[in-house]
This record gives sequence, C-alpha cells and structure tokens, in this order.
Amino acid sequence: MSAPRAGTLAAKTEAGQYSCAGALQDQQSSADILRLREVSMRFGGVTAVSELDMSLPQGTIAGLIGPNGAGKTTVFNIITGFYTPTLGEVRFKDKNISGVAPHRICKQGIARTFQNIRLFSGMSALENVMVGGHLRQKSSWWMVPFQLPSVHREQRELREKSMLLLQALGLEKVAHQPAGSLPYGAQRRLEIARALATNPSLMLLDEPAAGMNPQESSELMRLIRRVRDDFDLTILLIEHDMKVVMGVCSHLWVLEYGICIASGDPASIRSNERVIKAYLGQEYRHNA
Amino acid sequence: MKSHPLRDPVCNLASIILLFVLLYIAEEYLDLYNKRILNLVAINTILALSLNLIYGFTGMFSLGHAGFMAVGAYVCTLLILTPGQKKSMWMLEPIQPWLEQLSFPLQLSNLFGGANNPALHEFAVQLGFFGAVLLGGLAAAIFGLFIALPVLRLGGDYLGIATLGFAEIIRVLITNLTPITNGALGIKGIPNHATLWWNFGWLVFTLYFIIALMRSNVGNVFKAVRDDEIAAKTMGVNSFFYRVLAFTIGAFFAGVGGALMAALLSTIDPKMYVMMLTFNVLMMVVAGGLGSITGSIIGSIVITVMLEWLRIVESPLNIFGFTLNGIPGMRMVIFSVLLLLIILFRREGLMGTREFSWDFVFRTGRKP
Repeated sequence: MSAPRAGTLAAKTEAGQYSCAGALQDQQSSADILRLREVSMRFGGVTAVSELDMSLPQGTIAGLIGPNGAGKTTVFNIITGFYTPTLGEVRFKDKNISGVAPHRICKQGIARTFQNIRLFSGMSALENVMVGGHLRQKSSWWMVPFQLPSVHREQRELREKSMLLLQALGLEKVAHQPAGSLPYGAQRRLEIARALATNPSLMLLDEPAAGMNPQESSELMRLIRRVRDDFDLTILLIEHDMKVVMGVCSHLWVLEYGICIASGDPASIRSNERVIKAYLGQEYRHNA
Repeated sequence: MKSHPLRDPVCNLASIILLFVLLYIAEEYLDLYNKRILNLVAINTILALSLNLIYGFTGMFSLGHAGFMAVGAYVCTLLILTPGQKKSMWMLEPIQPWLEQLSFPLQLSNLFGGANNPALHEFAVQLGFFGAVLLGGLAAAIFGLFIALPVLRLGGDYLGIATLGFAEIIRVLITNLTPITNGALGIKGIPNHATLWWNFGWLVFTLYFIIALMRSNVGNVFKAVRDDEIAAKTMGVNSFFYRVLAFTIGAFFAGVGGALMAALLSTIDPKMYVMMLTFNVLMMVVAGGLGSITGSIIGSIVITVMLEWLRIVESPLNIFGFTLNGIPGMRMVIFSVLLLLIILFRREGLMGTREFSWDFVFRTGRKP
C-alpha cells in the first residue's frame, strides 16, 4: 500500500529523494514507533494538514519545521488525540490511535509540552510532576481515606520519584515554589519534567527553545539529547531556532500550508531549493 | 530542620480532643441560642467544605448546593419521623404506605428490644439518626452523579446556570411529589437529634476525608484539572472522571449538611431550598478563600456568627439619647458592603489558597 504511494509522491515533487515519503520510508519496519499514514485534517473549508506521511524510528530525535500557520501544532494535536484526523490514520507502536481520547494516548506512552507553557500554575513544581506520575499509580481514590499502608507507600514513592525527576532537570531547589512564579527557562524544563513523569516512550516538544538566548538554547540541546538517552525516548520537536533544529535532529519534515514539501536529514533540507524558498530564506544559505 | 514524624498526628489528635472538651463545656454551660449558633457553624462549615471541593479545588462553578441539601434533608427526615407523625402531617394527600412504616429509630429500637430498656432505645434512636444522615448524603451523591454525567460536559458559567436549573428542578419535584414529601406544606416536628456532638462529629469526619483526599495525589489531580484541563488531559488525567468524582463527593457532604440542618431546625419546606441558600454557602467559600480548607472554616465561622450578631442593627437602638428604629434587612446591607470590600481589596478571600499548618504554629512559637 505505501510503496506505490511513495512512488506517486516522489513523482510529484521535483527533488524526489527529499520527498516526504522518501528516506525513512525505505527502512520502514516494526522499529518505527510512530507512523502517520496520509493524515489529513480539515476545519470547515480549511485544510490544515493534507496527506501527511511520517514515520519515526525508535530512539531518534526528529524535527517538524515550517513557517507559522503551516500546521505543525495541528500535527501534534492529532498525534496526542485532541483532534481526530479527517482522513488517514496514526499508528503508535503498531496500534491505531487516531480518535483515541488524549488521556488514553498518554497512557500508551506519548507525552508532550506546549508552545505557550501550560503548567498548573497554582501548584508547586513538585505537585506538577506528581500529577504526571498519577498514571502509574495503582491505588484508586477511595482507598485514600482509609489510610492503607500500601497507599502511603505508593504516595511516598511517587514523591521521591518526582523529586528525582526534578533533580535530573536541575529544579530541585524550586520544588516547593508555585510553578507560575518560576523563571521562564525553569518553566520550560518543568514542563519537560512533568511530561517525563508520565513515563513516555515518545515525547513531543512544541517549540522548546522559544524565547531562549543562545546560551540557554545550547544548554537545551544538551538537555534534549541527555533526556533521550537517559529515558530511552524518541523525540519529535517543533522549533524555529535552526541552530537547535540542525544541531539535534537526525531527520526533518518541512510543512508549508499543511503540505509536506520535503523531508530528509538536516544537510539535505538546508540545501533544498523549495525549503529555502518557503521557509529558510536565501540569507540562510549564505550564512550556512 | 526536620520535625519529628509524630508531631503532626499528635497535634491533630490533641486538637480534636480539645475540641470535644470545649464542646462538652458548651453543652453544659451555654444557653440554647448560643448552642444553636455553634451548631450552625458546624453545619455551615460542612457545606462550605463541600462546595469548596467542587468550586475551589476542582474549579467547577456549581450553584446546585441547595438542591443537594434538599435531597439530603428530605431523605433523612422521612427516615426518622415516626409513622404516627407522618400519618397526621400528610393532609393534602395521604402518604405512601411503605414510606409511612419506614422509621429507622423505631424499627431499630424494636429490633434491639428497646421497649423495656431505655438505654438501648436511646442507642437505637441515635444509630437510626446516623443511618438516616448517611443515607441522606448518599441519596444526594446519587443525584449529584446523575446530574454530573450530562452537566459536567459544560464548563464555566454555563455549568453554573445548568446546576442552578437542576437545583430548581429538585425543588419543584419536592413541591409536587406530595404523597412522598408532603408538598408545599413541608414537614414539621422533626426530632431534634442534631446535637453538638453529631454536628461536630460529622464536621470532623468531613474535614478528615477532604484533607486526606487533598493531600494525596488525587488532590493534586483535582487542582490540575482546575488549573489547566487541556494540560491535565495530556498528562493522562481522565478529567471528566475526576470532575464527576469531585462533584459527587461534594454532593454527598452537601446532603449530609442538609440532613443535619433539617434535624437542627426541625422544620423543612421546599421554599427553604431556593438559590439564596446556595449563595450563603458560596459567600462563605469565597470570603474564606477558594481552594483553602482553612479559609472555608474561617469563612463559615465569621459569616455565621456575624449573621446573628448583626441582628443588633435591626432592632431599635438607643444612641446618646436618640432612638433609632430598627430597619429590617439592614444586616444584609451591611453584609453586602463587607463582601464588596472583600472583593475589592482581597479578591482571593481571607486565606487565599494558603492552609493552616503545624509548621507555621511552631515557627511563630519559636520566634518571639
């Protein structure tokens, strides 16, 4: 099914080897943790995403780039279950997850952060992370008032585990401060810690470097790699900071008006005429 | 600086014992009027805590409290009246026969053989009252659950309107189900079992239950749903389930409060359970601080006591030889002004979202 499809797409695009169906599609196997097949999303007359094919091998860091309004966040919302795609299907670990409720998808192992930070601002940093850990709790709510020892133990373990996560992201000193009062960079890291607490195997980061200075964003690159290695993750990120994107991603998809105009490794994307025209701009080629 | 692990439990236990010693003293030495204020404080605190769980902690603007209180009150009342009382009171239409015979205290007393043992009879009566209050709460919780399933798909102000509507539906049902509820005539002569002991006992249970819940991760999840529902869903929280859960638990305690209130006032009728009742409770929660258990306690104490104390301005006053005629309704005017001041200058309420903690007590104790 997908082979002839790849052929037609390649025929449509001028630079066939960079087409969306290219590169990773060849080695498609059960090692792909996430696969989008001809996913389209329409809102009334607007097609936000059109016939998008993606496959993400386990353990990679990949990027989704493109101009504003290209449909990148829509793709994230489709993967995390906030939108049901109009057409096509999303497969995660070889299971169809299109149309499944967001909290169920999280349980299956997809976590995300948000473009505009969405922390539980009235709660402390530690409590934020503990909410992420609630998925893996075995005791249910009615056991709590009975003060069962097992509930106590689980609660203590959850607290300790959450503390370790905060430590891993350098937030242990602010564990008891309200999340809303933390500095911007710390809030971004706290969002990652909270997502990690759900014990995911795929993490979606929506513009993690937004609003960061060069030093902070190079720290962020190190952090993303470390998190991938330490927590055995696959990471898909949306980002406009090309230094970050080209630095950490091993594969990129470029969206424009909901259509995937190119995909491939950073080097090939950088020199792709269409991408330069649509998004990167001529200056980028001269500087690079 | 770590405190002894047993410090907090010991302090909690000590304060509960102290509370009951004070209650004993109050029971022995206070007059009826002051005892009644104390009782109202306890019941209002239960009601405020239950609304705070729904609105303050889980962020659902619900105005259905009067409805849940009515369900609790009527269920409890119908279970503790004697068959004779029911027979004579249902004048418009005769009471349903199965309901007429239902009387927990009497049946339990017969079961225990309380006819020839006054102590056993008294025990049966109290046990029957406990069961009736519990069932009143459970009935309110079931109502809450059925209302929650359709209504909690709404959010914000729409939820407030819908719950308000459901509370009115409950009231209209009670007015028209004459063979069960005695309709608009209401019920009089409810045995006054709601003593200081029962009211404060239920208050301690409510406090314990809600504090335990809010301190556990379930409490964190409630607050997460309040702060950002979309983020909560992304974190794997089944937000609808937790909203329904908080709403149902809140409805349970509202029903318990309503049942105790009915037994304290000894008369109920459908007109009692209008919107004003909900707003009284809402006022306590908002004045005390949304999302603070301590705030709800302080709010209900202050407002309950003030509602009584401000009656002075409604009775004729004599100031420096001038006699002022009391103006009926004046205390509500003063009250509104005070509330306006709270909203203007301290929007988060008296406590904000802060809580009482023993840490705080011991810290201030050490620093002179």
